[in-house]
Amino acid sequence: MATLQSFFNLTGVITGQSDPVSISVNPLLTVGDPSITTGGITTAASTNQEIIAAADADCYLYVRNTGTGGSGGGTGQIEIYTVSSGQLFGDLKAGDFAFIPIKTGTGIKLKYATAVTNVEYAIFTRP
Amino acid sequence: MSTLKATFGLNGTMTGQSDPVTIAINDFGIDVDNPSVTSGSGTMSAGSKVLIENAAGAGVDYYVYIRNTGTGGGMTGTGKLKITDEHASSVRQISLLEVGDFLFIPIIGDNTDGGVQIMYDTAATNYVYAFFKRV
Repeated sequence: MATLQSFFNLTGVITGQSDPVSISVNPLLTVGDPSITTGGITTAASTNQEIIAAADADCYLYVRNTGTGGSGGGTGQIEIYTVSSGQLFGDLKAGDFAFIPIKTGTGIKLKYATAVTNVEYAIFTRP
Repeated sequence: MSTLKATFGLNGTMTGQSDPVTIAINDFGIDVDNPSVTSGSGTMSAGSKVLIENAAGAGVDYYVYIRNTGTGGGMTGTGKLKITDEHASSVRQISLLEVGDFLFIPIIGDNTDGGVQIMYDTAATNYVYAFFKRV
């Protein structure tokens, strides 16, 4: 097993809210050795790109829409579906990212939406 | 519209991997509606709680943060949280949060079977959440 240090901060002021947004967490993640799968994809119209099979073990998923040519720009979006039920639940605009603990039996696939873009991802199996 | 700054990272070394893990996103701006934050905390000891109704509407998307904070919010215990959509007849699981786990997802709203809810799994636990309407 290995331990990864994670951190997530979300901060700022929203007009009309009495208090500022201040979320800050940094849990240690325990993952298997070696268990990382990484990749980069250029999305293609009408193609589902499965990155986690439904039968795969419990894992942590990081995925980001890195935009046109990986520049962070452009208008291409990425839709995130489960494999098991085909449920659409996530949508990443250019620059957006998601971090999701995935349970075995779920699976994840990515799909082009609106325009071609690039995506990077990393998957870490849980022990 | 307001802009929040999001920072995310994963770092470490894994036996059997040639290179260390280094993922870093620094101060990425996410645009959210004014005022649009909904946040809260609670104990999940049975049943479920809807955070975002399904059929939120076309173009109504949210950035969603949820964390399982464990027994009494102290990051201990064994209770897990199922994260599902909010389908009327049969919910579909998206994620499972063990104690200490968190997720951050841009959730799509133009989906009649969408929405987000949290569900009890095998033991009681506490949670915190926040979601922001995306511009």
